Formats: sequence, structure tokens, C-alpha cells
Amino acid sequence: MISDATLADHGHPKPGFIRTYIFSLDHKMIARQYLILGLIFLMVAGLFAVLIRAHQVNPGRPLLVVGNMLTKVAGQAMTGDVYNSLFTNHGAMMIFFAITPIVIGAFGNFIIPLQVGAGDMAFPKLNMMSFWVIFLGAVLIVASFFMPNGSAAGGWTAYPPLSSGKDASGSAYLLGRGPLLWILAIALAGTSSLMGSINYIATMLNMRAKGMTLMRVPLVTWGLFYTAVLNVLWVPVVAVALFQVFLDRALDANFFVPAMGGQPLLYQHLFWGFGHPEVYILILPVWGLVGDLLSVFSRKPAFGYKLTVLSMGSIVALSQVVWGHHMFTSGMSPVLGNWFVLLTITISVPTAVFFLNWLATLWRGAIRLTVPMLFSLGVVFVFAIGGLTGLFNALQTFDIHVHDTYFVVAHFHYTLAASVLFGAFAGIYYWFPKMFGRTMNRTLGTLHFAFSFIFMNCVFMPMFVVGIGSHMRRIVDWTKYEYLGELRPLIEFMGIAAVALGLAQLLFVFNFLYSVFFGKRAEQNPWQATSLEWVAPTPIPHGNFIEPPVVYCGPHEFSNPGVTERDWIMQTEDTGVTQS
Amino acid sequence: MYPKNISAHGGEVDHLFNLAFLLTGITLLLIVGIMLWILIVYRGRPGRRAHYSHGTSKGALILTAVVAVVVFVGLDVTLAIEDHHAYKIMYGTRPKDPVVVQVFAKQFEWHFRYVGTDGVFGTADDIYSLGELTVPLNKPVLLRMRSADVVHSLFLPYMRRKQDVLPGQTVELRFTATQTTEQARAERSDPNYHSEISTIAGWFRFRGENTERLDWFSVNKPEDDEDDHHSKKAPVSLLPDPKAFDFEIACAELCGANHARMRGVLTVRSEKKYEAWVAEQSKLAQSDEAPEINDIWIGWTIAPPVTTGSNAVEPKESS
Repeated sequence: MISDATLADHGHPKPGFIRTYIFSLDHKMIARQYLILGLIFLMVAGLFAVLIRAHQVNPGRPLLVVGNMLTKVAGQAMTGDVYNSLFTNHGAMMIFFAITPIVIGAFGNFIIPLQVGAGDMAFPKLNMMSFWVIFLGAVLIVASFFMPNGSAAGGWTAYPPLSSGKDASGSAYLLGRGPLLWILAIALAGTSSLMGSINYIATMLNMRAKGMTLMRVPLVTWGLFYTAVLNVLWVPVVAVALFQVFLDRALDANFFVPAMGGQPLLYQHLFWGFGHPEVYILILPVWGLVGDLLSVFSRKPAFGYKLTVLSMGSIVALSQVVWGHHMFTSGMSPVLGNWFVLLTITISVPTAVFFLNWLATLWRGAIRLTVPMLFSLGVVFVFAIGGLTGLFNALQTFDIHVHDTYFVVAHFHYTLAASVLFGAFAGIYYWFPKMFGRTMNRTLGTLHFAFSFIFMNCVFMPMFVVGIGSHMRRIVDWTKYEYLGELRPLIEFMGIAAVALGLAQLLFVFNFLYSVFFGKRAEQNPWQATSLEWVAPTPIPHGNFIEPPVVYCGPHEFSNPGVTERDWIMQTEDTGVTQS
Repeated sequence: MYPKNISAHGGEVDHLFNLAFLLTGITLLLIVGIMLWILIVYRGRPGRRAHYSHGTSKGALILTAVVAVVVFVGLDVTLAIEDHHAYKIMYGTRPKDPVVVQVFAKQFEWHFRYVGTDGVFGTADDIYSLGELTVPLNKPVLLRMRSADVVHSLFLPYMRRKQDVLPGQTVELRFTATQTTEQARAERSDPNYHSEISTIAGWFRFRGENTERLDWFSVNKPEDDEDDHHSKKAPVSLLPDPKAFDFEIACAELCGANHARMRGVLTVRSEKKYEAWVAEQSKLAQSDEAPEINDIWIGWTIAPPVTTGSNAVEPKESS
């Protein structure tokens, strides 16, 4: 089914400034809006992370420059309430306001209609609303910092009774309106995700161009589709959990008040019921993107495309029944624990299939080390580490010891901060020419990759050692514990590496901003790729394609021996020699 | 793993780590090694075309199946079985006649109560302690824990165990200590002593001896301030005094602004010394110098213990 939206210039007058740039119905403009929002929060939440690690180098003293902004008493070191608020918002902002807007909001919005050959998303008005809803959420989470008692400080996980309850004298454990605003902000982010997900699913299933079968859709769109499915199923669950916390706080409900029959453990089940699929929500688009980019820059078809799609699907299924591995210390029955161990550990099988397919795509290829390719290869490396350390955490007995230590923090930063973020960078460098009509500087991009890769590993590899050293999480001052003193060299090293990692991102910021305004104009298909977004002209007109595309082959037709003057075949070319 | 395990079965965790590290380490080396080799051998060169294959041949499918089976059996099943085995050893038994200690977690303190010489909770000779858990050597200990307010988690790094303490429930944790505090102090006073992590930590040390704080990112007090032991030129070495060594307890679930201060001490005494301690503390508790009992303990009383068949003797509790 192709709507009239496929045809460019379908006869309405050119919209004004506000309709074009602010309240746009065009998926490409909405994507850019998501990208800017996401990049801003990436910098803010990233700054919080640098502050956290720099503070840990010398926890008894205030930080340089910003130290006095972070304490009530001048010259005093950061106190627990401020520190707790820093890591709480580092987590919440990174997940809901940085990574989700970039990898799901920006990439999904920009790429899905283009790659399936549609003129826009299925529901443009809903799409526009989804951005403004998360924008409102972003305003609220920033506002939470200006409340008298500060923002939320219960961890991004916000376990009750800490986040919801009151002590014997009737004052809340976490004072003030900040936590309420924080909860509302996340609820709005979730609502935005739901709206977007409806669009992604409908567009993927109903608006594919003629000849674009499901098995010819690029892997990144498959990843985004799966992400949308998980979102639709599980965001409502976390909304319920947060809503219960909200009601306990604001209206003295008793969901999590044991004396009145409430059960704090219920929150953990609801939260992690969402929380585990959430981490796959964040990484599925990256898995798809890496699959596509390794193919483009090896000039070879993606090895085992169907099996990759199937593996991603099986992980979608498995991810929904493993949430208990976040709760091994909660006192669950060992029988239940055994099931969670087995199901969690089984996820390594489809993951191994991806790795095989990625390596086999590269094998016997003709590899081009462009900046998107460097980041994709980086993902393969850091996700290998992140995924393999997931195996440790899946083991109940081992996990009971490392739960709430830095071992877990290192694991999820390898899979999130390293893998998903590198995937986000890969996508930004890759689609920048199409999004903004200009090219980013390759030298700066290569340096950005090199420094990010080195310093990312320098921060998080020692963190595994620190976790094995039984260093607890979320501790404002580790020097209170004598046994942690031995870990000092590691902690100092991580602090320096974190500051360096933060500084390295300036290379990207400068490159991005400069290139948006002054970069060299991009050609239509600078990477010599084959999917439909590169069929569209640069800059992409309203309606995307000059005429509705007709698709004759899959998205990875590289180095086909039947075509000799080029090593790629666009999806819209009818050559008769393709196998997909 | 660090710190050194001093529990009877905590070594299972170390064993699991070693096994998982070996298996995943081999896997990582394979993946990275193959990737680097490919990047060198198959880098793009002018005139060389990539090999066109979608990976749908029978050989490819067989390879995929082999990899899937090897990963499932060699990694997943192997580790799951070892984990199940370790779990049974560490958590699967209920030793008879454990030493029972009641634990109350509260923002931001650990309270402990011991039965005292009469062996019954809720009597005048009960021993109360704020922040110090005292247990005998080589005897099974059973902690019964409650929380007064939010979710806490008792973390015993030296026992390789932790247990979340949820308000509204009584949770249990069992362990057996295999080294006394005195023995630990003697061990660490040996000039040849090296902790399990000192070698790796040493690789990351880039500035001399570990006696000064790194002050690159912080505002530091003038060097002449000797009272503040956080200042750079602290008169006290940052390495702890082995003769004052104590096993430490931590809270491992964010519980509020002072979560980091919720530290406790685990003291292990030899059986004789433990009995002497119990006798002495019970007498003190019944004397006039006994401190006020904290309000927390009101309502958590115990009826006389009941024996039920082959199960361990466990005091019945009310409220």
C-alpha cells in the first residue's frame, strides 16, 4: 500500500517557518529535532558522569571549578544527596533523553520511511506529537533540578520505599517535588516512545514500497521494528510502576507501604519486567545497523541475513522472560532463580549467531575503514566484552556477590555506553550526508573514534577489576571502607580516563556543528550504499522520492559478479542477477 | 577475587569466576583475533573485489549450527551446571544448631541482637550491638534480618554473600566464618603479605607509592592543615594499619543520602573467645551500666525454640 505521500510536491503550498522547522509533520525534520535533543542530553548526562568519576578520585574534597555548585557549604566535599542525584540523572537522562531520542527517535524517524520506500510515516501528526511530548519531559527533568530539595536521588531504578515512602515523622525519604517532576518526565518520555512505536510498526508493516518484501528490508529497520514491538509491550508496565510510586508520594497511597499491606518487591518485578526488555530496546537498532554497515563497508552481502533477523526476533522473545536476573539477591526461590539463569544464559546463542554473521560478513570482503565502519567495528569489540560479561552476571551464585558492585556497572556500560553509543556515532556519521546535505570531516571523525575507543576501554575495563574487588555501587565516598583502599590506583586511573573520554567528545561536537553549517556539500550516495535512502536525492525533498520506488533486490547487493562496472546494485535496479 | 574469602563455601564464587573468565576469555580472544586477522588480510585494495555470498549455502548453515551448539554446550550449559552446583553448596543446606543473630537494618545503621547466655531472644541478657556483628569461628551462623524503613542489603564481601533486606519481610542469610579477626591481623602484618588484587592494582599505579591522594581534579586544602586527613600531605599513610584490621560489612542497596556510611564491622572470634564474649556481654546487659535498648527491637520477640524432626532448630518468632 503506497499513499499519495510518496509523490514529492503533492500540490499543497510551501509551509511557513513554524510548520517547517518547529511543528513539522515531516519525519526527517522530526528526526533532526530528536537528534539535537538527544545530543544535548548526551552532553549533559556525560558531564554528570565525568563529574562522578572525577569526584571519586578524591572523594573527600570538592571538585575544581564546579565544586561549590555541588555543595551547600563552600569548601565542603560533595555530599551523598547530591551525588545520588548525579548518578540518578546520569542514568535517567542517558537512557530516556539521550540514547532513546538518538538511536530510536532520530534514526527511527529518519530512516524507516526512507528505507521501506514510503513518503513519510504512517501517522505524521502522531509523530510530531511524539517529539513535543518528550520535549516536555525534558523540560520537566531539567526543572526537577531547580526544586528546593533538588531532583530525584533514588537511582534511575527508583526503588520504593526510598523513592515513594515517608518515615515515621511523615517526611518523605526523598524530599520535595523534584522526584515527582522526575517521574512525570520519564512518564512523558515513555508516552513519546509509545507514540513513536505505533508509527514504526504501522509504517514497517503497511507502507513498504512495491517489491519491498520483509526480507528485503535493511537490518537496521528490522532492529527498529523489534524495538518498537518491545516498547509497545513493556513501556506501559514501567508507567504503572512509576505511577504507583507517584500515587504513594503524592496521595499517600499504600502500594509500597508494608505496614498497610503494600509490597515493595512488586515494584522490582514491574520495573525490571520493563527494565530488561528496555536494554534490548536500546541495542536492537544498533545490532541491525552494525549488520548493515559491516556489509556496506566490506562491499559484501550481510552474511546470514535471515538468521540475523530470526536471532534478533528470538532475543526479543527471550528478553521478556529473564527479568529476575536483576533480582537474584531479593530472596527468590532458587527454583525460580534456576529458570532465570537458564533463560538468560540462552540469550548467548542467538548473540553468537550475530557475531558469526558479522565476522563472516567481513571475511573475504574488501574492507573500507571509513568513520562509520570504525565505529561499527568498535561495536563488535565492545559488545563482545559486554555480552560475555553478561554471562558472569547470569550465574545466580556469582551474581549474588557482584550485584550492586562495579562489576555490573562495567558490564552495562560496555553494552550501553560503549556498544550503543558507538552505534549511535556510527549512524550519525553515516547518515549525516543525507540528514544535513553536507559531509563531516573524516580526520576529526577518525580521531574521535580512536580516542573514544581507547578511553572508553580505559574507563570500563578497570571497572571490572574494581567490581571483582567488591566495590559497591552508588557510594559517594569509598574511602570510608578500608578494604577498598587497595583499589585506589584503579579508581584514579578511571577518573583520568573519564575526563579524557569527555574531552574527546569535543572533537565530535566541533565536527558536527561545523559541518552542519560549513561542511562540504554531500553527493547523493557518498558511501556507495544500496538501500533506498541513498536512492532519494540529496537534499531529500518533501515526500522523499521523485516517483514511488519499485524494489527488485535486497539491501546488501555488493560485489555481485553479474555487474562489473560497479561493486554495488541499488535496490531499485532491475538487473536480474541478484540473489535476494 | 578480592577481598580474601574467609567463609566455608564462598570459594565457590571464586571458582565460578575463574571458570567463567577462562571460557569467556578464550571466546573473546577468538573473536578479537579473527577480527584483527580479517581486517589485515581483507582490507580493501584497488582492483580486488569482495567475495559475493549471502551465507545461505549449506556449509554456512552447518557452521552456524555448530557455533550455536558449541556456545550452548561449552559456555551456557557448563556455566549453568557449575552455578547450580555452587548454589547448592552455598545456599542449599540448613546446618543444625546455627548461631542465630537478629539484624535490623535502618537508615543508616546496622543493628545486631544476640541471644545471650540463656539462648533465647527477648530476654534481659540479650546483647545489643550497633554496627558490629560478632560471630564464632567455624560455626554456622544464621542471620535473620528486617528493615525498619527502606530496602537495604547486607553485603559481606569476605563471605561472598549478600541479601537484600526488604521492609515487611524477615529474610535469612547463612554463612560460616573460617578465619578469626586476630588471625587476619596477623596475616596482614606479615611483611610479605600481598592482597589478591595488589598485582593488578599495581599495573595501574603510575605515581610512586600509594600514600598521597591525587589532587588533579579537586580543590585542596593548604598543606599545613594536618587535622584534615583528606588533605594532600596527610601525615597518616593511606594504607590501613594491619593491626587495626577489621572485616567490613557494607550496605549494597541505595538507601538514601548516607548510604555510603552504612558500614559495619564483622568480628570473628575463636569459639572459646566467642563464648567468653557472650558471657561478658550478657552480664553487662543485665547490669546497671547497660545502654538503652534501641526502639527498633520492640515487637520482635521470640518464643522458646521448638525442635521439628530433622530440621534445624529454629526459634519461632512473633510479630
